[in-house]
Amino acid sequence: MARCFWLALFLSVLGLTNARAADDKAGVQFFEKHIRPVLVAKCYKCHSAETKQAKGGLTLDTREGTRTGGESGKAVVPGNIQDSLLIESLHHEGLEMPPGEKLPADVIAKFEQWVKMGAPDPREGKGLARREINHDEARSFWSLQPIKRPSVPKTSSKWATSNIDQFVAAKHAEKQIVPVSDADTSVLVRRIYFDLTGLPPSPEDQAEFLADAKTDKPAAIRKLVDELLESHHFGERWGRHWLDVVRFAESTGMERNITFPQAWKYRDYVIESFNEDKPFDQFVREQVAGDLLPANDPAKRREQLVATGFLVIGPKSLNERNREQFDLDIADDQIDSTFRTFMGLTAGCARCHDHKFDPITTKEYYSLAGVFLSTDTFYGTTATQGNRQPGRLLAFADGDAKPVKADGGDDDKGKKKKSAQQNDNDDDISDLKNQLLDAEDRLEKARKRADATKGSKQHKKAEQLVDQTKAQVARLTAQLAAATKSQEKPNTDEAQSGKGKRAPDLLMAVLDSKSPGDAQQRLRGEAAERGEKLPRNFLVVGSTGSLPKIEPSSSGRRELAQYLVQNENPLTARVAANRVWQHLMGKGIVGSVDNFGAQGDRPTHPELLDYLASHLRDNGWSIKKLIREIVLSRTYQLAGTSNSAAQKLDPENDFLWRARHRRLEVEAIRDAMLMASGQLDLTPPDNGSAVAQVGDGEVGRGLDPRKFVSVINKRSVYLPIVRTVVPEMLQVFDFPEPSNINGQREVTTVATQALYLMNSSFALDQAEEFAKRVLAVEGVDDTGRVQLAYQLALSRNPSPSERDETVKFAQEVTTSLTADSRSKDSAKLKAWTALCQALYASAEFRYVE
Amino acid sequence: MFPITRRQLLQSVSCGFGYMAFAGLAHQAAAKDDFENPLAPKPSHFPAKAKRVILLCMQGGPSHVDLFDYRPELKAFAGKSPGESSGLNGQKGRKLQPSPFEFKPQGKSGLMMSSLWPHLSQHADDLCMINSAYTDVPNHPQAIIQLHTGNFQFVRPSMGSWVLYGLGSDNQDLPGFVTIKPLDRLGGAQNYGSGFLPAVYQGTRIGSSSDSAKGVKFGNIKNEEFSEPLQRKQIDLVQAMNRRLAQRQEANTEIEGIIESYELAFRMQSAVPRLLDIAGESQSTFKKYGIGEGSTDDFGRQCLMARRCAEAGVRFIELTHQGWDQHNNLKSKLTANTKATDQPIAALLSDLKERDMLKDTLVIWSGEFGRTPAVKQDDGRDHNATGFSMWMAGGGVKGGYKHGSTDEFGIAAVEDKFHIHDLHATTLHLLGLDHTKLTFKYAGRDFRLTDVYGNVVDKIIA
Repeated sequence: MARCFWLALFLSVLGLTNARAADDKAGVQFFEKHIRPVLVAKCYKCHSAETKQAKGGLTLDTREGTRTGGESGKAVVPGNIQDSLLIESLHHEGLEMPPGEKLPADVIAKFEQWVKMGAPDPREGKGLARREINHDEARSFWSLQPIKRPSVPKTSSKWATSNIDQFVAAKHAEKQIVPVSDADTSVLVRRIYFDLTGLPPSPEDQAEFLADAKTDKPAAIRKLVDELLESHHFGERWGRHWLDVVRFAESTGMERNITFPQAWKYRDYVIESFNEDKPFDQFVREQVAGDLLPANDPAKRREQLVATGFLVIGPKSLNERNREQFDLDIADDQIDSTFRTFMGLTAGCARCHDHKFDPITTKEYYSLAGVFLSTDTFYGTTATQGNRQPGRLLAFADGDAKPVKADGGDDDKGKKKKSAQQNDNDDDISDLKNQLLDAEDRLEKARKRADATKGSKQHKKAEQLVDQTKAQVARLTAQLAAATKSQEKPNTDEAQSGKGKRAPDLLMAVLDSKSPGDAQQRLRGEAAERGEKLPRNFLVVGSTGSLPKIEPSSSGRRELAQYLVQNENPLTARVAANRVWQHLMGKGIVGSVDNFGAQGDRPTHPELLDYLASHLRDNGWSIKKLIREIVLSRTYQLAGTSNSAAQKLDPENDFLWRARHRRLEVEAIRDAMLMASGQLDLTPPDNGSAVAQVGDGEVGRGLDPRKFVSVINKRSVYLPIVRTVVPEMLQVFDFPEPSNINGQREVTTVATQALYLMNSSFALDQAEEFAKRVLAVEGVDDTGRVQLAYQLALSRNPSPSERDETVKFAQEVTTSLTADSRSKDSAKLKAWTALCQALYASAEFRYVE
Repeated sequence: MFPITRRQLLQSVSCGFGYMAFAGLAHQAAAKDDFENPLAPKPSHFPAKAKRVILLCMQGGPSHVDLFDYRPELKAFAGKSPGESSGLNGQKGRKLQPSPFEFKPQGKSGLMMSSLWPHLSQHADDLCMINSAYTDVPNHPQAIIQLHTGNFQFVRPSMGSWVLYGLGSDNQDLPGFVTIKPLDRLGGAQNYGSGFLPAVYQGTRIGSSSDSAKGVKFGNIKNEEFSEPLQRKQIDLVQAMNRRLAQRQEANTEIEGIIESYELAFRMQSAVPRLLDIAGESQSTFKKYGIGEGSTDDFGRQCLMARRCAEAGVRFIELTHQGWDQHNNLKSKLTANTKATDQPIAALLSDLKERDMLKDTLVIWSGEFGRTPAVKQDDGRDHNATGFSMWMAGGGVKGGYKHGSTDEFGIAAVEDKFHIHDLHATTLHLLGLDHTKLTFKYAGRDFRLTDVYGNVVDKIIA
């Protein structure tokens, strides 16, 4: 006994160990008296192994749990107050514990004393085991196993006509499901047109196809598919699918929503890439590392730079004061986007703690962060007040890219900081500007009204309103002038630098930074809490073999590009093939198209998925070939009819015994409306985007959001996508939030959609044009016109009863409107407008079978 | 209930069948529906104290020490620097500035309020005053987004969207989440957006911050071309087509939703303008809200519309009043702001009470942060995120109750600190929702309004 005591004293005096102190009776008494009661009362509720409450992975009801700590680190390091997170949290420095309630100073002092004593703690038992990520074990997960080309099942099925069908038929046999019959030719042609181009067939196209199909249906389908894959409209359709995934938008969004007037160049790059059937591996490489890839000519160099816009177009918090935080946020957006887009992995989850479900550690996250922090991101944005982080762009000329300011001016820094008072003044100015715009609008309306009411009783009143509004405009103009005068004068050199020169070709792109290097881990994702430096690297499970070695003098993005598309990557080809399948079949083989991790769905047809993934890889990564393979399968060409036996066995149609009814994407609905009305201008815009026309500025402050509500009759993919002010029709019909990665659109059915189609000026205008078009056809009666309207809107002929009902509607409405003292012609136009609008509004118009 | 399914019903209804009868039957059959209406009322996790929320968003950062946080120490230490004595950070070179307004105890509870609230103070015994609110960042854009969504780093669903997602709507003829005159900057639509939640849960905007409340409109609610009978005839044609399609495409269950959406839209065309048209209210009501009386007119109209929305069963209603950013001219501008809002808010509370609706309507008054008690300028205060005041009323919170406290000068919350996440957690709790269980799966994990934070603050619950 005595020897033990002396030994313990000796060791603790030397400070070599505090372990023995834990057994110290006095220490235990101290613990029982001052520490345990507090832990029980204030901590166990959320941190107890016994009740399995382990917030932040921490349990505090055993010695082991307390010492091991949670996700943020060790709660108690005996003898070391500095490193004991428990003490830090009690002081409410960084973490704040207990939440919302700081313990009295004397209690905290006791805790400090206790830690200094060596944290004597008699509590035995295990803490909750912390999940350690084991990469090797993790590889047994289905999506992380190598992609192997499976052999095609040899079923006795007479039904199957392609390899894809064999996989599907094997499941049918296994589940004892009988598929429904093939789709009618007229149903099929509409389906193929929408799926490949996002447009309905014209009546002429359809007639031609139906005639072809009469002689040899499979040949006619092959010919149609090949033609449509070569159409420019293919890229406009499939490019938009990609733009959903990559969170494409033309402004920063967030608290200071500043435009990206050059973002459309990336949009057009995507459309062109799909049109030229750029090998998908090349497409991936260009977007991640286009700036680092060899290019034979300036045009290719420019294309590859524009491709890296993928890393640039994400939302940005420009009001962030802390540059380091801002850089980490950009890198986070790039990591998250890269891994979810290409590999279906939520790597961003590992920013603050190890991934809870997937084998991705925080250390791996910061190894990746090093790659992106070694990259300069040229996102532009003007330096308005409130934009604390204005960026630069690249000016491209003769194969050379040079950093410049967002307005194309020379790259110099040295902006004067504005005071809070000036900021206030700016606020006032933007408010005044908005008020003035409103007043001007009202004035215009009032003037119109005054003109319209000339000679009537209301005229005087209308004129009064004009005068009042005029006075208002004058008042606001004067106020605005006064407020602007007191504002800082703009730098005149700057304003003039652009003049007289040809506008430079400005690009949103990335380049390697001048001094690439590794990044330090950030504890709990806090910018200021630096941990160890971690060598740049990639996610371990993203390769079934070795990881590419990063050249130290470069960011590592070139190697990242290689890593993403090399044969050892188990995910990229699967994720891409699954997305293609989803767009054609209505649901992915893996339902959660953006998540192939543990929290995602499991594949319904794993072998088929691998067949498609290998098909993609083995055919030069050709997306068009993969689409062709799927569209020509019998599975794709099934009818949408039901079958009660199959319905019972597989109500969700997971095993593909019929075609899915799919609500068209809003772009296709809008384009089809314009197509039927004859108003769709099928050429791409020659001025990029409405955002490029409006130019730099902050939305809602100086830039009136209404400016983006441009009426263009171009295809919907060219509409301006400004974050938070997405065009109304897109918002109403489930356009995805453009700040989020989203490969799968929601389909909701709500009254605001009905109201839009019933009452919006767009729907009414297009219905009227549609009616004019139908009425302009000569030599046909109302029956013929109804037939044509059905053809234009629904790509089919009406049934006799539909035809009669519709003709009756037109005639009755015309008669009753004529009775309301309208001219016969205007009554007829109105009646047919109502009829055409009804076709737009029908459920059938917005669905493909 | 009726022994028929919606599908049978839809199939049996042929053209010419009166639509009113159809709509009525459809409602009754809804219980057995295989089409799931995402806005149908949903049960709460546990019995709720509040059925609806009215959020009064006071954008700019209302000065708590001039409105609700009585700090006599400011007078005693006027002109002194708070830094040396209190050890508080970030106040260098600033001098404590007492409030130019007088505070007095109000009601039976004796809740302290400044003289700027002659009307609201009559309701002191209904107010649950939170003097210990705090938020993360003293910048308008981030803080306002955090107030609405809890998170300014990513685009997340707003509180109203979460509530609608959790509870559905009680009135299928009206939107379940209405925001009148919302901000068109500082995050704009993000403040009432649905983020990754389905778009049906986003707030429906009525007007924008630059509009005047008089004449605000709901988009696409009126057909400018067709008379109502003609439009009805047109919708009948559409529905006839839809019903035939539903028969042809048995596998497409969504057509039923579309049929229903047209009937709802048609009903909304009369219900929504009725809701927003306050002309039928009495003169005394106008007077009560200060409508038609200069500065109170605009917010008075908003408050009256809020009451009408609440009565009609709208789940979440938000009103916005801007311009609380008094870096300068504190005295005059704060007087003007309270003048414009005090009477309307008091009228709203008293109307709710008269209708016995305050008990299950949670009214929340809050800015995105407060203002600095210590300043460099003479007649103004700057942004302060470390401590500010907000209040709640009705909906199951304690009335005439003061929760938490800032330090002696009102700089930082020190006692019973109340973070925005706690506001969210507690609001959901009052609505019968467990903030840790109201989740939506996105990007591989279950997200919540409160992320991994937030505590239900039992102390303020009655």
